[in-house]
This record gives sequence, C-alpha cells and structure tokens, in this order.
Amino acid sequence: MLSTIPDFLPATAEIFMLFSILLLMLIGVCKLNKSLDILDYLAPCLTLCTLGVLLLLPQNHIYTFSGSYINDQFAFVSKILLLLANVIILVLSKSVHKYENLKIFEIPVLILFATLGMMMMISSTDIIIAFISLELTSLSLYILTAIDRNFKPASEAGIKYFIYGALSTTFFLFGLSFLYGITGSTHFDHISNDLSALLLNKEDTTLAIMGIIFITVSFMFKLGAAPFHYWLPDVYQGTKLTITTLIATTPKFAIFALYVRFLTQVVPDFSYIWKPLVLTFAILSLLLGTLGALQQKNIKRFLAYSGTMNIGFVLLGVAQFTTAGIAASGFYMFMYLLTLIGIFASLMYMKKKGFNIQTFDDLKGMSEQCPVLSFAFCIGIISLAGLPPLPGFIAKAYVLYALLLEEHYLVAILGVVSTVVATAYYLNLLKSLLIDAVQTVYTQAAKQTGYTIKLIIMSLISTVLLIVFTPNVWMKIANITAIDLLH
Amino acid sequence: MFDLLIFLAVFLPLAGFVVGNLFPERYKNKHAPLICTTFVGVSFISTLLLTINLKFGHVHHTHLWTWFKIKNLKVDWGMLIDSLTLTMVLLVTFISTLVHMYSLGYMHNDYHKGKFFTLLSLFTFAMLLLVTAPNLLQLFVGWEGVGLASYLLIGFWYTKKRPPTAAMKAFIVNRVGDVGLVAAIGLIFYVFNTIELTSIFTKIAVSSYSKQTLHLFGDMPAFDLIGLCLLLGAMGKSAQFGLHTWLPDAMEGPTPVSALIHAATMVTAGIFLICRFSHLFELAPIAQTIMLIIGSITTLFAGYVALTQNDIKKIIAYSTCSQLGYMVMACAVSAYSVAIFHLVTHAFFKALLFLGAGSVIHAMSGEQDIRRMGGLYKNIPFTYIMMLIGSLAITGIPIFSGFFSKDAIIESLYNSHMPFSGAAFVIAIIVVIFTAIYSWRLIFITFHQEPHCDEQVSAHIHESPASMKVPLFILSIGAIFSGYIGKKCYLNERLGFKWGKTLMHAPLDHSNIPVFIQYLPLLFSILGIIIAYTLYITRRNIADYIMKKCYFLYKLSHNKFYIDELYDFIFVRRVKFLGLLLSKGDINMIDRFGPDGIASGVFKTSGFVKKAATGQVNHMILAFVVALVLIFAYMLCVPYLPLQLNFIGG
Amino acid sequence: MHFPILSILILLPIFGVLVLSIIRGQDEIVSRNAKNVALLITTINFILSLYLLYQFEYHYPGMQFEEIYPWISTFEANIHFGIDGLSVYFIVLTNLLMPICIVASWKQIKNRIRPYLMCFLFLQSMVLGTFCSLNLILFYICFEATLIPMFFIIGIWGAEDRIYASFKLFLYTLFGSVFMLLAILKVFIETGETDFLLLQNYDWNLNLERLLFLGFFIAFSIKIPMWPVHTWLPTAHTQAPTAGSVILAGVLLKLGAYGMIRICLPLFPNASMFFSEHIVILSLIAILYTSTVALVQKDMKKLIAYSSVAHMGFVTLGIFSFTPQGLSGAVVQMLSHGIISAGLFLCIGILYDRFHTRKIKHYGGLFKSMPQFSILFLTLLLGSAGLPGTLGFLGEITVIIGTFRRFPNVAFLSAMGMILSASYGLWLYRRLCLGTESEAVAKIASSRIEVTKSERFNLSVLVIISVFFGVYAQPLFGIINPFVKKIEGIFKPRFMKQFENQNSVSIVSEQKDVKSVINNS
Repeated sequence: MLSTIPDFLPATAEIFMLFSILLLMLIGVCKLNKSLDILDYLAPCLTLCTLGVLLLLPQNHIYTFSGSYINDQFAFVSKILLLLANVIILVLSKSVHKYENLKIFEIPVLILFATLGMMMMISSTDIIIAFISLELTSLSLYILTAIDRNFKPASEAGIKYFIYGALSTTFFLFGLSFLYGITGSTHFDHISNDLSALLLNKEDTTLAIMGIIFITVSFMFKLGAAPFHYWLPDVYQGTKLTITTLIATTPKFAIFALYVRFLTQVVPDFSYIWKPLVLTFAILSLLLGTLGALQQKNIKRFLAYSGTMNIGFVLLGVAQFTTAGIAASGFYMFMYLLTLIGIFASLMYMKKKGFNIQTFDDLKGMSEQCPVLSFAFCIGIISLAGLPPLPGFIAKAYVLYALLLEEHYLVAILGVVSTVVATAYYLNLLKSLLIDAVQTVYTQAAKQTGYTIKLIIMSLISTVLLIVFTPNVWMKIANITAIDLLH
Repeated sequence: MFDLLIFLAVFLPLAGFVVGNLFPERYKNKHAPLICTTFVGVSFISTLLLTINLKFGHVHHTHLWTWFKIKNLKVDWGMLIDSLTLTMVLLVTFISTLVHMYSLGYMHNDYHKGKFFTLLSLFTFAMLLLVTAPNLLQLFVGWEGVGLASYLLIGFWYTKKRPPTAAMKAFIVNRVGDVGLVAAIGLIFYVFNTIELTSIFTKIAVSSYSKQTLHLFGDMPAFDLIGLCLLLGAMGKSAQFGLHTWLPDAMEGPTPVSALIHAATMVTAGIFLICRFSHLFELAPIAQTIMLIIGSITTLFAGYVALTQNDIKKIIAYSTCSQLGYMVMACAVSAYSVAIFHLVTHAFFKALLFLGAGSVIHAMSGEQDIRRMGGLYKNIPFTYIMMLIGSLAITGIPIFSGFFSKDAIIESLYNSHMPFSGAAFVIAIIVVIFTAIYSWRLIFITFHQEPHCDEQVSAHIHESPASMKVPLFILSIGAIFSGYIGKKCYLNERLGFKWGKTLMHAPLDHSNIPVFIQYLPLLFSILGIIIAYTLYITRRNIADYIMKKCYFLYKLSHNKFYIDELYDFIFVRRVKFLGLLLSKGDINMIDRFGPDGIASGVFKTSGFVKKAATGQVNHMILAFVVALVLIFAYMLCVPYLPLQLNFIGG
Repeated sequence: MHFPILSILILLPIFGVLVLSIIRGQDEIVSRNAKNVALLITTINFILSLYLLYQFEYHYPGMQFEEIYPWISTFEANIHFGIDGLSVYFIVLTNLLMPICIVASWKQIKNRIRPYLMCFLFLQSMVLGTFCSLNLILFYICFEATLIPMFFIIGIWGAEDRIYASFKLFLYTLFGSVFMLLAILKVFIETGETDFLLLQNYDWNLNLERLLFLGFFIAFSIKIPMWPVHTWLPTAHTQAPTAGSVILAGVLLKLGAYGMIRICLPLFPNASMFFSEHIVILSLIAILYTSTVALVQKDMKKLIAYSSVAHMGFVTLGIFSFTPQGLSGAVVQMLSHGIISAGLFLCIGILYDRFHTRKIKHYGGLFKSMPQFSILFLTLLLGSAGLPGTLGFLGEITVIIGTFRRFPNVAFLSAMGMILSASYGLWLYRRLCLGTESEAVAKIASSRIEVTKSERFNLSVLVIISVFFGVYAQPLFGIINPFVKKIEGIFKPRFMKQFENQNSVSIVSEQKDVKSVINNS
C-alpha cells in the first residue's frame, strides 16, 4: 500500500532507537558528571525498550516507506535475536570497560549505531536502504575496532578492516548498480519481477549474472567465508575482546539475514547461478576454515577460523534454497551466536595476571582457578563442535538433513569429515584448558570482573542446555520464518 | 537310590575340594588331607554299592539340572551310568582313594599339603564328571577340568623353575587336542542336531546320517571327519605320537600325581572317548586306519625312547605312552572291550609302578636318576617286591594281569583284516621285547647293580611308612588278579558283567589263531627279560659296546627323537616371530597408513593454509581478485564446458 | 502409565552429577562426600536394575517398560525407551560394573576426584540411554555422548601417553559414527521414521540397503573394535586409569556389538546376509591375529586389551552366523567378556597400584606373597581362555557350534583361537605369579601387598558371577531366547529363498548349511 505520507508504524523500533542514540550522544557531549555510568546503564536499557517497542508492534501490516521497508516475520524474529544479543554485548562491554577504566562514551553509542544499522539491514527491501544500513554498521564497526588508541594492534586492525570493508563495499555497490542498470528500479520486488521477465523473454542475462556475482562476493567477504576470510583473524586478534565479540556475532547475523532476503526475494529465479556459487564458497570455507584453525595457538585467530568453518555450514544450508535449508541455516546461525557469545564472555572472565587470555597455553590451570566458568566454557565449545547431546549437534544434523534431502551426498560426507577434523581442534582447546599440567596456579583470581559476566555466561549456557530439552520450539520458529521468507 | 549313590560318588570329591579350601591357611594342612581322603573313600564305597545293586549292561540316567538350552541345543547336568562308565568310575575312585592314602605318607612334610589334597580331589571330581557325562558338553567340562587339575598339580611346586613351565606345556598341548574335540562337538551337532550321547547313539545307526558328507577344507564322509576330530582330542589327552610331548615333562609334578593322573586315569580319557563312540568309529574306516597308524607309531616310538631314559619316572612315563599306544591300536581294530580291559589292568600295574617309584624316590631322598641308585633290594625289600610284581605284570608274564590283556590285544591285531593290521601286529610283537627290556632294565639297575649313590643319601635309605605300603600292597593284588577276572568280565562277559549297547563288543575267538602266535608274545617277553639281564647284570660291557656301535640310534632314543626341539623350532619360535611381526604391523602398517597417517597428512596441509594467511593487505586483495577472476572465467566458459563440469547449466 | 523405571535409571546418575556439583567444603571433605554420593547413587541404580530384572517378563517377545516423550519432531525423534531380553542384560551389567569402578578408584584417584566421578555418572547415564533407546536419533546421541566423558577420563586421569590415546579414541570413534549419522538421516528421509520398531521389515532398494548397512557397520565395527580398525583400543586401554579400562572393556565395547544386533540385523537383513561372509572372515582374522599379537606383548595391560579384541571377534562371528546358537552365544560372550576382562583389568590395576609398572618382566612369583590375588587372577584368566565352567566358555562354545552350521572352516579355525588364548593367559600367569620372586616383588614386604578387602570383594563378585552362570546358564539364554526367535524369524524365510534359487553347481556344504538351518528351526 503506497501513500504519500508514510505511516511509520512498522519502523517505529528503529526510529525509537535513533532518538535514544541522539539522547545518549547529547548526554555524552555535554559532560554531565557521572555521565559515563549513566550512559553505560542507559544504553542496554534503551535497547531493551526498543525490543519492547518491537514486540508491541502490530503484525497485521508490515510495509512502509512505499514498500521499501518491511517488518515481516523474518525481520521480526531476527530483530529480537539481534537486540537481545546486543543487549548482552553492551552489558559485557560496560562491565569489562569499567575495570579496564577505558572511559570512552562513544563505545555504547557506536554499538547502538551499529545495532540500528543492523536492524535496518534486516528489514530493508530496497537496495538503497540496504546499502546505507550496511555502511552505517560497517563504519561504526571500523571506529569501534580502532577506538582504543593506546593499544597498538587495534589501530592496525582498524585500518585493515577499513580497507577490506571499503573494497567489499565497492563491489557491493557495483553489483547493485548492475541490477539497477538492467531493471531501472531500486525496489526488491520490482527488480525481481523484471529479472524474471528477462528470463522469460530469453533475453541476455549476463549483466544480471555479473551483478549477482559481485554482490555475492562482497557478502561472502562480509560473512568471512573462504576464500575471502583472511581479514578475520587479523581483525579479531587486533581488537579488544568486547569489540571482537560484537564483530564476530551480530553483524554477521544481520548480513546473513540481508543476504538470504536478497537471494530469496530478489534473485530467486537465478538460483541456478547462485546455488552452485554459494555451495562452492561453503565447501571452500569448510575446508579452509577447518585446516586453518587446526594449528592456531592464539584463541582469537582460532575462533576466527572456526567462524569461517561455521559460516560454511550455514551457507551449505542456504545453498539448498529449500525451506529446510534456510530454516537449518537460520537455526545453525542462532546456535552459533549463542555459544559464541558465551565463549567470548567466559574468555573475558578468565583473566591471567589481569590480562585477557591470548593463547591456548594461557588457558592452562584455569580449570582450577575458576572451575564453574571452565565448565561453562566446555559446554560452549562442545556445543560449537556439534557433539551430541548438546544442541550444536541438532543444528548440524538439521543442515545435513537439508543436504541429504537435496541428495548432495558427497557434500554431506565432506561436511561430516570436516566436522571430525574440527572436533580435533576443539578438543585441543579443551585439552589445554583441562588436561594440560598446571605450571602455576595464579593466586589473584579473576574476581575483579564482577558477577554480571558470570550471570550472563550462566544464563547463556543454561539457554543452551534448555534447547537440548526443547528443540522443537526453536526449530519451529526457524521453520516458520523460512516459510514466510520463501512465501 | 541309584541317583543318590551316583550323586555321592561324583560330588563327594568336589565336596572334599570345597570343604578343604574353606579352612584357613594354618588349619588347612592339618585337616584338609584327612577330609579329602575320607570323602574320596566314601565316594569309592558308594560306587561299590552302586555296582553291587545296579545290573551291568543296564543303562541308568540321572538328570540334575538344565545347564542351558538354545532351541534344540539342550544341555543338562547329569550322570549316565552304563557298564563302561561304571568300570571307569570304579577304577577312578579306587585308584584315587589309594593315591590319597599314599600321599598322606608321601607328602606328609610338604608346606602346601592341604592344597595338594584338595587339588587331587578336584581332579577326581573332574574325571568322574568326564566319565559319567550324559552329553558332549559336560564331557568337555570334565575333559578340560582334568586338564586344569593336572595343570595345577604338575605346577604344584611353583617356586621351582621347571614345574610351572611343564604345567603350562601340558595344558596348552592338551588344548590342541581339545580343539579337535570342540570341532567334533560342532560337527556332531551339525549332523545329528543334538549332543545328547544316547540320542546320538540311536541316530548313528540310521543310514541317512552316515551317508552325509561334510565340507571342512574339502569334502569328506561325515563320520570319518567326526571320527578324526575325536581322534585328535583323544591324541591330546592320551599322549599319542605328535601330542605326546607333555607327558614326560608332566613328571615334574609330585609322584602320586603321576601315578593317578598320568598313568591310571586322565591319560586313559582318550581311550574312553574312542570307546564311547565305538559305534561311530565302526562306520568310519578312514578314521580307524589313521587311528591304527598313530597307535602303532606311538607304541613303537615310546617303547624305543623308554629304553635309554635314565630318570626313573621318565622311563615309566614313556612306557605309559607306549601302553596307551597298544590300547589305541586295539580300538583301531575295533576290539574296544580289549582296549578297556588293558586300560584297567594297566591302571593297576602302572599305578603300582609309579607309586613304587615314588617310594624309591622317597627312600633315596628325592633322587630320580637310576644311575645313582642300585642294590636297593636289600634296603627296601617291600618296595622291591612291589616293583617286581609291577614289572612282571607289564611284561606280560602269565598269572600277572598284563599277560591276559596284552595277549588279547595282539591276538585281535592278528585277527583283524584292516589295512596295515599286519604291520601293526609286527610292531606290537617288537614292542613286547622293548617293554620287557626297559622295565627290567629299570629293575636291574635300580635294585640289583652295586650302589652308586653317595654316602649321606645311602645313610638314611629307609622303607616307606605304612600309609604308603598299604596302597602299594592293594595295588599289587590288583596287578596280579585283575587280569584273570577282567578277562572273564570284559572279554567273555561272565561274572554278571555285560557290555550291553554301550560298547561295540565282539568276543574274540582263539579258533583261527595258531598256537605259535598265541605263545609268541610270552616268548618274546621272556627273551626281552633275558636280554635285559645280560645287558645290565652279567655282561654290562655289551650295553656300552652297543651304545658305541650304534651311537646315532642311541642318541635318537636318548633325546626323544629331538621332537621337543623340533616343535620349539617349528611352532613356538614361528608363532613368537609372527606375533612380533604383527604387533609391529599394527603400528607400522595399520596405524601409519590408517589413522595416524591421515592425521599427520591433514596436519601438514593445515600448515600450508596457515602459511597462506600472511597479514599482508596486498596478499588479501590478490586472493580477492584471483577468486573473482576465476569465477568470471568460469562463467564465461560455461557455454563451452563439457556437461559434467557445467553445473550451472547456462 | 506405569512407574517410569527406565527414565529413573537414566536420570538418577545425572541427578548425581548435579549433587556432586553443589558439594562444598574443604578438599578432603569434598572428595570423601563425593565418593560416598557417587557410590550411593550407583548402588541405588544397581538395586533398581535388579528390581527391573525381577519385574521383567521373560517370555514376552516385544518391548517392555516402554516410555515415549516427544522430542525433536523434525526428525520424528521421540525419546522412546523400552527394553527386551537383549537390553536388560547390558543394563544390569552396566549398573553392576559402575559401583565396582567407583570402589576401585576409591584410593587410586588422588586429584580432582569430583569431576572424575561426574564423568563416570554421566557416562553411566548415557550408556544406559543407549541400551534403552528405541529411536535411531536418540540412540545416536547417547552412543556419541559416551565419548566425551571417556575422553576426559583417559585424558585427565590417564597414564603418561594419555593425550594421544584419548584423541585417538575420540576421533577414531567419531569418524566412524558420523557415517552412521548420515545413514540415520537417510533412513529418515526414505521412510519418514526413526523408530526401530516401526522400521523393521521395511523393504529397501537393495543397493541403498547395502550402503546404509555399511554406514552403520563402520560406526559399530570401529566401536567393537573389529580388525583392522582396532588400533585405538590397545592405546586407550594402556593409558586409561583402572576404572576407565574396566568400563571401556566392560561396557563401551558392547555398544558396538549391541548396535549391530539391535540395528543392522533387523533393519537391513538382506545387506547383512550379503556382507556376512566378509564380516565373518574379518572376525576370524581378528581372533587369530590379535591373539598372536597378545602372545608377545611386554605390557600386560596391552596383552589383555588385545585379548579383548579377540573375544569381540567371537562376538561378531556369532552375530553374523545368523544361527540361534551363534546369536545367543554372541550375546553371552559379550556378557562374559564384560565381566571377565573387567576383572582382569581390575587385577592389573591392583598390581599397578603396588608396583607402579605394567611391564611383565618386572614381575614374578607373586603367588608366594599374594595367594588370594593369584587364585582370583588365575580364575579370571582361565575364564578368558574359555575354561568350561566359566562364563567365557559358554560364549565361545555356543558361537563355535552355531558357526559350524554356516561356516565350518571358519569355525574350525576360530577354535584354534582357544589354543592361543590359553597360551597367552597361562604364560602371563606363569610370568606374574609363578616361579621365583622378582626383586621388584621381593622389595616390598609380603604382608603389605595382599589384596585389600574392597579389592577382594570386587574381584570375587566378578569371579562368582562368572562361575555361577558358567554352570547354570539357563537364565541367560532364557532371557535372550525370545529376541533370538524374532531375529531368526526375520532370517529364516530368506535362507529358504536362497536355498530354493541355489543353482546345482553350488558345493554340498552350503546346501547342507541352509537345510540344517531350516530344519533346525
């Protein structure tokens, strides 16, 4: 329904978020005393409020801004997840930074900006909005990466991130321009209609294909899929732990959402092009991610590579272009987010001589120092490795199921074999945490980072355990959204 | 009534074993011996009562409880009593009682006396289980049980070096035979669909079974195959040539053990098994022929080896071996009753000989080498007489038991029309001489030559205590009269004895045997005695002369044809080598090319991937571009690609 | 809805884990309480399983004590528990061995006793879950989940080379079972079912059936383990702590064979028949090969480990002979191996605690100073060598008898294994217990090294069980009988068919096999 004066209802959440950001900036700029603490507390609360707004929204009509902005099931669910994740991240960063007395009020603000970008990304049905939101997110992430000036690697990481990001963005823009060039429209629906008309009339589709390829490549880059994954380890290693958590989790989710929407709603008729393409990238990420992670000694780099491997699994699901596939990849992504945030949180908690843990060897003796945390860490890792009985396994099985449904036997076998190898390095992590001999038990334990983190970790892990017993609920949600996405 | 008696007879020894072991260590030596002896004695008495009440030739079946049942493989614990079984049970309990009594004296100052007696009782129980088994599995239980008991008893002096090894050897060599028995069980169940002895015997008669062929590494008539497997088992237990190596070594055990297990009872289990399946062997000509060959080789070989041994117990052991050969030959020419007859008589005189030897060793305070004895007849006259009786019996002098049974065997050999039976007959005759020579060589060297022993041994050479004399005496009576009675019972089925269906029995007829043949064995044995006398008493230099002349033959016989060395070379070393090879192979082949190899390969490749990730921006961008170029190249080539590569289908 | 005893059996250990996790206090108090709690929990479980045995309806062929709770509807994976004659064995066995393990590690484990016990309890519940589950997905999950605690048990509390061993165990087994996962998913896609009972006698396309069979078979054969994928077992056994090896030999190896009987045979009968020859040959190789290797081992724990591979070879031999005797024999063989080799590992643990070496050459003449131990040890060794009157004999003899019906040659050769097993068993005994005392033994005062009460209790329980059922095995075979009938019901008609369309040139024995199998049943 198009109207000259758009009703902002479906976009209320984003608008609310925007205003709250402005408020925060206001507080931050005119330095009221104690402003920082207020900001730190305000940011999560406002995000929660946004969530509340989102939940209050009516589900009956979903289009706005002349149909270039959508708030359908898919967007709704993803936004809920996103906001929850970001709340957690905000709380984590607050409680970590308080003790590292890193008093920069931009951090929460930028995180919120990124969040806003992601929300728009998820519910954009117009290439312009998609591009803007993508840029909004990326820019705030670039800044966040390099925000800690007296931490050398941070700036290097920031620069790298920026260069690579810019590169991929150009490709994205280039691809979009191709699509616009053929169809003369920026709107998803129009583009898809015109493209299908193109196919029907047997006209030349080379330009469209090139556009799709460019866009796919740039998305692969942003998701950190092989062979465009080389930026991940460097950036992860360089940035502060909290920021790494942010980079590693929610943006990927949002971009994944946008990409899936793009594939399914803009170029569904070109699936014969992008299916094999995505499949190739998926397989490459499985192989390279697994092999790359196998010898890492630095935990962040390790997590980067394992992230690539997991993205590979997600893409396997996407490449099926079936309900089961999309649902599986969504579920997998969700599990990945959950466990990864948990792992990062426990990494933040485990400190050695006041510093964060860098390498596997630093993990030694942690199991004596904080047994409960290391237990949680184990749960996270095992779930990430996809070993039964933890839900990571269910997700993996779901993806494999989707593969077998499409009779991609060899790919499935490749997937499971790479899982075995992956298990090897996850076990390696557990080994250095639990098995390896302790040289010195560090007396001053990691108490200084308060109970909030502990609480968060516990809640995350208990969620993971909860999913073991109620897998139906979550898988059904994934299924519904997938159906909604594919009509 | 019968059930109770037979139950007592079989299970009292077990009770002895259990009760004896219930005592704590310090009381064991005091009480266990008496308890075990009494229990075994009672079991003998109950057997006697059973024998008196139960008519021979009539089969009695006692069912205790079901062991297990899988479809038609139904196995019960129970006792099957017929003439054969009864004979064996009587024999076993009788000898066992005597040996128990004997051991009271022989082992009186041994540290583990109690243990020894309990083990003897255990052995008795296992043996009774074997002979009274109503089905093959229980028989196998007894079969291995006696093996176990003999293992424990041979290795009784476990702190010494040789006994444990000898025990191990005995058990393992027996296991080789047991494989045969197991195979036989499997095949029998395969053919007859049951392992109950009675139903097997009924089914054997049915021609449809005997016509069958089995496929075990090549087709073969079913009964022959089963017969051969059974024969393998019998060879193991009865120390036939090839599997005999354990018997001489088994002499490491205490002497009563040798008397009970390795002369009277256990080694005859093989003969018992063959006789049990006499009906089956009757229909298995191939098996019979092979049996005949093996029996004759054994008897010849063992008799020859016995000629030159110097260990008093080894001599008797080899003579046991050759006597068992006689029995097997008898079975082969389907004179099963004769075999049993010889089994019984042999049990008496061989037990007598062993116990006598034991008493000699006892007197010589542990000396076993006959070259260090001599002139003992005046020191220990009683033992001397006993040994004399035993030797007379084994040599086959009339009146004495051996005469009857051995003659019967030789005559039945002469009668039979099987292939090789002629050769077997000749061998039997030759071995008669051997028997005479080695037995009397033992007697002469030990008792008659001038003493060769050193002073402190000769100082206290003493006659054995009464507890050892009494059993010797009883046995000697058996050794004298068992022949005459046994001939009446077993061969002519007089004195109320009947074989019934249990055994394939044909009363042998002397009609077609010329008188010359009938007296041939007697002549030869007397000849043998004379030879022995000349060699070892009057013209001793001749012995050395012969020894020098045919030194090779002497060496061969003295070193038992080097068979132990041969086996050690062929089997033990080979298997050890193979084992080492394979355990190397586990690591170097399976692992290297299996899991470990794959793992290291993956690790190597991951190294490359790791190297590829240089933090350089330009490398990254290069990869980026290259990937793009590849994709586009592919896209552009799509129309020209062959189908299998073209998975876009443009 | 009856009393959900199975779920209670499975959840009680998990509850124990929770209890252990909340114990507070000083270390020694914590460790003592933890031990007591674990012992209590496992004992209760054992008693419960005895009650289960008591409630069990022997002649009822179907599943008993069934429970169904919905779980993952996407895969039709309900939590479906239920037991029959086959499972009830192993449930009791597991619950029997667990308290023994905990008692065995009472003094042995010094550091981090609490997580150790937690691992064991978790392991127990997962193993029970595997034996109870009637749903493929559930089965897979429990089957896999047993690996994680085992990894920690070996990795944390193991011997010097434990890392390699634990990784090898984990990855090797995982590698096998991922194929099972694919096979399960494929089965679900084909049939829309993952429930054992509903999946039986679904007629497959033959090639697909063979592929699926192989998928399952790889997983199970690695777990059993069969030759040539057995190499993880010796290392795992040698490196594991005593209780670890006990539970590994006693229960975990059974999972594979259990899976074969429970899944491969009923679900893919044709494929099983198709592959049976090859599998039987592999089992034969396993028996002879590993027994020969065991002969020359210098490390006694390795020796026992190899011997257990040989015993499991008998199991597979029995399973794939498809005769009632073979099948029941295989099950009883599993049981006996579970009891006897568990006992042997306990014995070796006892020696290791006293002399701190596993090398055989350091031992000798133990009988003098520890006679009771030697007698128990000998009994167990003879049991593993298949001496009649022990449980070990029943398994072997029935398997051999059963196999003679279909593969006479293989059966005969496998009987050769009896010689080898006797050889290495008695050789080990001769080196350890007989002969003169070695200096390592002589160093320690003879008064201090005789077995303690608890050790003696553990061993004697196992010995008594093995001897009692060795002479009165009717209960065992009685329980398994209905299940065996069912399996035979599946295979008999197929043999009939094979017999009918057997061409004339086929050799005599095969015809006889089929005939005998038919007229036997």
